[in-house]
Order: sequence, then structure tokens, then C-alpha cells
Amino acid sequence: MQETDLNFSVIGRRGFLRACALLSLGGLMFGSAITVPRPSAAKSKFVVINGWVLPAQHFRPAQA
Amino acid sequence: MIKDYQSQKELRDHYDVCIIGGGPAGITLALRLAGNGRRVVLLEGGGHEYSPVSQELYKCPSTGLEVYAEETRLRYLGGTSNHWAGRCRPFERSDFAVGPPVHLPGWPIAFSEIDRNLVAAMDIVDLPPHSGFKAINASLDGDDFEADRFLLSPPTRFAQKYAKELNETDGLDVFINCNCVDLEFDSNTGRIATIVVSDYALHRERVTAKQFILATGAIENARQLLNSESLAAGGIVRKDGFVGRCFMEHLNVDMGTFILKDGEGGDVRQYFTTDAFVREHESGKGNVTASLVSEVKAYGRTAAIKDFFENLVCDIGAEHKIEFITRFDCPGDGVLGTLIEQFPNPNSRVVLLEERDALGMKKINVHWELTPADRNTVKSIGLEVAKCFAETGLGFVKLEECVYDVELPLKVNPHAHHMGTTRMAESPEFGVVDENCKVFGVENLHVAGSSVFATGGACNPTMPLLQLALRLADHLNHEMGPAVGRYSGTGEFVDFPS
Repeated sequence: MQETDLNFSVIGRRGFLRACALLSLGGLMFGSAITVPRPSAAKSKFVVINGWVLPAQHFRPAQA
Repeated sequence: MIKDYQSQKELRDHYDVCIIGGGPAGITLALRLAGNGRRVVLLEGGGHEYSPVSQELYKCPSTGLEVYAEETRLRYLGGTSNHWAGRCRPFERSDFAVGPPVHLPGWPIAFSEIDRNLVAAMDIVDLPPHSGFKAINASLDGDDFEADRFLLSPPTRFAQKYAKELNETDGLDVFINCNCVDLEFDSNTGRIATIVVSDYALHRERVTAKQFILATGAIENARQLLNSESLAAGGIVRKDGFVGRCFMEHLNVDMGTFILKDGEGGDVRQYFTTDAFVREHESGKGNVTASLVSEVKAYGRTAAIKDFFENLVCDIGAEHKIEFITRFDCPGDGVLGTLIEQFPNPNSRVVLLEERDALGMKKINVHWELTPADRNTVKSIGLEVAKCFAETGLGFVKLEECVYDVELPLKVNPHAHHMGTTRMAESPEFGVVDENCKVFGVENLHVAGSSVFATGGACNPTMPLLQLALRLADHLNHEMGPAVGRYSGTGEFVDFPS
């Protein structure tokens, strides 16, 4: 059986970002996210998950 | 002429101006005033070089946040310029136009009052005049952050650069190892009559002058005023007054880490809050410096990946891979540092203690704390710069939890920018010195240095304090009447009788 490859050069930055987004989504669903709208209404909304400040548009609404 | 007071007790009977403290402000004032034909004495407590005996006199405890007072200042000729890094960023018009969002007024003078001395101050610290302050990177898109603009002084070491002038300027006596230990206030005249100086063998002597200037740094300027029993007896220094209060620093906060998107390499980037940002968030100003770290072992992306994989290998039953993961490091992440404005807060203060130092002066304690307004500044800057990173496609930021959760204690270090302890105000109700840096209630005592800052902005204080020192020199020259010297326009010196 092939071993799981944990080499970072294979996972890459984009892989990490995807993993981060997945982890963040999990955090959001379990209630650890804070929604932080930008003061100006024209600006996009963000969520803070485990310290990561990420665009809210990538995440499912909490009530969904 | 520079003389060692430890062995040369050659003070004159009377001076026009006595300057206490031989750092950047004191040296600048001494050369300007003597250069205008005044008879000036500059008193420096330390010697030509660092000495533990002198430095020991800076030792003081602190409460609240750690100030590292003794470690960050230097007590010998040239003062803290002997180890400053040389970063220069001037005050902005908005620093003077808008007061802080706390129950204290801002600067009582117009921006033009300090700006007019900018070019001369730049020359003093060896910056090319009229060159403009430069950005090292592009601005972040949006209205919140622009590229920070600054210049780097070589950095100027004042004692070395001005050694010849300090030795050869007519009318100027410089004494090293000459410590001011008391300011003697005469309540009948409303003036400082004399000051008392001491060498390290506790030989004491009085110095008489028409004008006195304190230029010993923000902590020691307050200490000199608080230590004077005659100023307290005369009602100049009161327990409910502002002497020693409103101690301010620039906040060096470890904001967190960031990861850059592919292809976004590069050097250090420095951003600065816009006036629009400050208005919108009712915050202070701030610099955010994004530095790439070549090898990250325990934080940022590496830490996140390790954490993720450790959980993953446990879940899939491949625990034997954990050792591999713990050795795993990756380059490219970065850290976010800051230089953030702190608002004046009367509870952050220098307080006199009963214990005395080796020269008999009362020691002090520095209490430094943050207010909710300061936490709002840190949080606003942290969140908004993180959003800008994401919005502009630069990358993503992971903030320290204490940055956005203001209930947690903030991890903050000082920048060794001590300010505000003799703040400038329109009246003694809100400060210690008036618009001309004169101590309220004393006709002939002025203060130089960043202790007079009403607010600190987010600019490095050395160059602005030189601008104010030049302004004070102009004021005193005007007040003391005509004289002739190298800076007075005649090109000739007054011949002083010995």
C-alpha cells in the first residue's frame, strides 16, 4: 500500500490554503468564527477563525 | 570646551542658559544658543563613554507593562543617540489638527510651528534636505493604509558628530560627569534661582543662569521636576498635576503571521494608517511592518501545517510519521510588527519613590498601561490590515488572539520612545509646559525632548524633538534679546570676558 505523502513540496501553498479553508469551515460550523464586517458598507465581510482573517464569502452562512 | 567635572571644577559664576542633559536635544540647544552669542553651560551626567556607575542612576522599577527603562536609554554624552537606529518619520498635519479621542486635548500649537524646522532637523541627523520621505513599497489598495514614508539617518551619533563644535564653540562650556540633583525654585521671584550639581564623589555646587532647560529624556525630565522640594513647596509640582503623567510609548505588538500567495515574494513592506482610517475607527495611527522570515520553525504556516498533519496522521493511524512532521520547516511565511500610537493616559506615569540613588536623588517607578482606546487602535489596525491582505490578493493573515480579543492581555513591547511626561498644553489643567515649552508657573524653566509631546503620533520621536528644540532655541534667543553669534546672522562672535 502506498504511504501517505506528507511532503510539503507536493502539498504546496495552494494545498495549504485549501486545507486552511477546510479547517476554517469546520471551525465556522462549530461556532468558533467571528464575523467582522468592514466599517464601510461597500467593503466585503470577513470571518476570523483561529486568528485567520478570511473572506466570509467562502464560507457557508452559520444558519445554513 | 568639554571638561570633566569629576576633576575640573571650573563652572563660571553665571550663565545665560544652563542646559541639563547632553543628548540630541541638549546638544542641539547648546550649539544653537551658544552659536547665537549666549553664554551656555551644557551639563551631562555621564562621561564620554558608557559607564555602569552612571547607567546605574537610570535604574528604576516599573509596574504594569515592562518599560525596560534602563536598558533602552544611555546615560553619557550623546545620550540615547549612541544606540538609536536612525529611523526618521515626521509628524503630520493631522497630528496637530485632531486631538486624541480621550478626555485630554492634543497639541496646542499649529503644525506649521514644528514643520518650519523640519529641514534644519533633517540636516542635524544627516538626512538630505528637501529629498522627501520615501516609501519602500507600494500602498495597499483601498483607503486604509498607504506605504509608510521615512528616511534612515546614518544614524547620527551626536557626541561624535558634534565633538569639535562642543569643544570649540565660543561661549559654550560642556561638563561631563556633572549631575543635576536639585532644582531650587524661588517662590518670591517665580524663577529657578540655581540648580545643584554633583560629581560622583558627592561634591556639590550651585549653578546660576538666567534660563534653565531640562533635556534629560522623558523619564528623567519628570523625575527632576518631581524631585525638587522647592517646586513642590511653591505649588508648581502638585500631586494632582500632570508632571510625570501621560507617559506614552509606541506599541510594538506582535500582530501575528501571514502567508503570501504564490508569486508574492519580496522584501520588507511598511504600511501606515491613513487619516481616513483613523477617523473611521476613532483610533490612533500606526505603522505595520510585514517581514518575510526565511525559515519558520514554530509559527505561521509551518505551525498550522504541523498541527494539521499531526491530527491527520493520528486520524489515519500513521502516528509513526509524527517525527517526520516535527522536523518539517518551510520558508516564506512572515511576521507583522508594529509601531502604534498610544493615547495620553494620566494613569501611565512616573512616580517618585522614597528610596534614593547614589547621588541622593529620589528614585522613581514607571507605571505603563494600556487603555481601551489603545486596544481599539491595535485591534482595528490588525483586523483591517489582515482584510487588506486578503482583499488585494496579497495573502492571508493569522492574528494573535490577543489582538482581536481585547479581554486577553496584549503581548506588547516598547519601542524605547518615551513621551508625554511633561506634556505641552494651553493651561496647567492639562499639561506641564506651555506653547513655548516653559514650565507653567516658572519664568525661566523650559523642557526639551519628547516629554513635551502632547500626542505621539506614530513617528519616530528623535527628529520631531529636534524640531521642537530648534523652535525653543529660536524662542529663547528672541526672549533674551540681541546677541551676536554664528547663527545670528552677523557671522561674528561676541567676545566674552572670562
